[in-house]
Amino acid sequence: MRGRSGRRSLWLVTVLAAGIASAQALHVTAPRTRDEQLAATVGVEPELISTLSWAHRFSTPGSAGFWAGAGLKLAPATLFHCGALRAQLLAGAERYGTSGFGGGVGAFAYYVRDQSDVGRFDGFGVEVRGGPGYRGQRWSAALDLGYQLTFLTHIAHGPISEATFGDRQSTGPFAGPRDGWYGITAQRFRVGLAGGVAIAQHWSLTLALGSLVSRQRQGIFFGFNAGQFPVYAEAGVLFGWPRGP
Amino acid sequence: MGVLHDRKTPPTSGRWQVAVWVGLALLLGGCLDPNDPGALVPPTASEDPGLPQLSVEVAGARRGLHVQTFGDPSLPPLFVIPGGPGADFRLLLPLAALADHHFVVMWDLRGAGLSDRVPNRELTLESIDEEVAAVKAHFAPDRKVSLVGHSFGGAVFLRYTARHPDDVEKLVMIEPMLFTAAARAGYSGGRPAAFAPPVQEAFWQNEYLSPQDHAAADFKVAGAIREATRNFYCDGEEPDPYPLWRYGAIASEVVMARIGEAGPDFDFSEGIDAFDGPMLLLAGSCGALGIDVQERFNVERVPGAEIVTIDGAGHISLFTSRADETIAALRSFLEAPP
Repeated sequence: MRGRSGRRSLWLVTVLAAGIASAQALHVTAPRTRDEQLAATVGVEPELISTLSWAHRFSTPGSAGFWAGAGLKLAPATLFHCGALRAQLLAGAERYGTSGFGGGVGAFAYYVRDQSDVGRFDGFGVEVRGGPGYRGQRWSAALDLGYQLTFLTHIAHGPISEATFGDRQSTGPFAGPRDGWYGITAQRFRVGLAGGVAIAQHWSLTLALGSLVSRQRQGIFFGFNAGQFPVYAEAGVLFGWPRGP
Repeated sequence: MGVLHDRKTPPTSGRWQVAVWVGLALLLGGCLDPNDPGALVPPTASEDPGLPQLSVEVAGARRGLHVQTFGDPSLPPLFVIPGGPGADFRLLLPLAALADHHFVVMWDLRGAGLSDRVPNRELTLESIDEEVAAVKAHFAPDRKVSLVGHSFGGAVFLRYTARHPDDVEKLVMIEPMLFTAAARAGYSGGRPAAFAPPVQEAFWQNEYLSPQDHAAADFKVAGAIREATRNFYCDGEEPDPYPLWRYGAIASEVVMARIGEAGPDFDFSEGIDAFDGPMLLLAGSCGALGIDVQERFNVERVPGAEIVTIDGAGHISLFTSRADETIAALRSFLEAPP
């Protein structure tokens, strides 16, 4: 039976986990000073993405650390065309022993949007990302495991979507696509490796590579029509600085 | 979350948590399911009895085909199927004009368009051949049929003709896909522009709408298909709005995989020498499957076929902005005495 403080810690982590962006920048980097940190990344998932995030480290005794922050994930190729972005709150916990081995987990609660002639989409979801790893004085590496669930999405269909119902189902129960709230609209799993290296007192570089797979009940693992190119790569830069003067 | 609940926490906190979870469950329970028939994309034949359809038994299963007929059934039968694989016949509807001299039958192949979605195991090249035979058995059991196939559909009808030469009156292939594995391996024209916004958006959608079911996967294609077919137009030509009800995304991937699995010697035209009827290969002058590509890879596989080019037309605009010329070319071929 855990003690009360242990339960509170677990509760805190779980609650924060209900809420991600550049998680690899959160849990595997090796900055020398990082009570506060800013991270910027660019990558492919396979669409072009970029993230910008800030995180604050809470002072905790011992080797455990807790983080909270916020961030944006953008799709540059569609940002101006579709307003595609994801705003997120992030939280994380990490614990590394004196040997350097340990692990971390980052959690994101996000709002994601997109708008085009297909429709307007406003989604809410959570993503948890982390894994065991090693953190040394100058470099770090860890497994990058993740699960993403968009549990609620409002869809307002646009002219392209509405046109698909034309001259076939223009009347009756299938007169057009249905606007409204949709449940459990996206699930993705991530398996990869992430690492970081400190390049200066305040600066680190990060890299994550791996597979990002959407849940697909018909077994299509790789296909353009199925929207499935199960790879991701993300590189970033991290700036960290100590709290106070 | 009981394991996380501190025994010393007042009971009201527990009730509050229960209320939150119950509320969340009710919220999600009241939501639409992306796979609900008619929610994101038009329903298929089995989901909407109001659709014109035909039930056929193929690959050991009874499936609904989205079928529409035009004209007098006593006229010479003319079958029309679309390409993709996965597309529906909405693009080909202008060919209904041929119903003045033919009994025109258009349908979406199983797994494609508004026909039923089927398990992957039912989607084989053999079963597609079986499906054409089943449709013929229903609409023209004792008569020869003329066949008009677009893109992948042209290759399907070519194979059917080669295997059933006595069933076919005339064969028309409109910008058919490349017939041989060697040709497909050596030509990559037509690939979508990966960084075009609609294509990027289709991938970004995985943040909020992943292809977990047929409906979601098909929905994503509908948004990207106009951009994805940009290379099938003349250079600099803006793509037309793509007339589409629903694209069978999964069937498209599965059938293309089947073609790949058929091996390096697979050839849709194998055995076509057994057919001594008229053949037409019609192509536009532009785009990734235009006349240049047809002459480079396909024409030699169909010796004796008449070759007709529609100047200024591409793979899609053959049926949109240039439909009149396409129909005129088809009339000239189909209505000529054998």
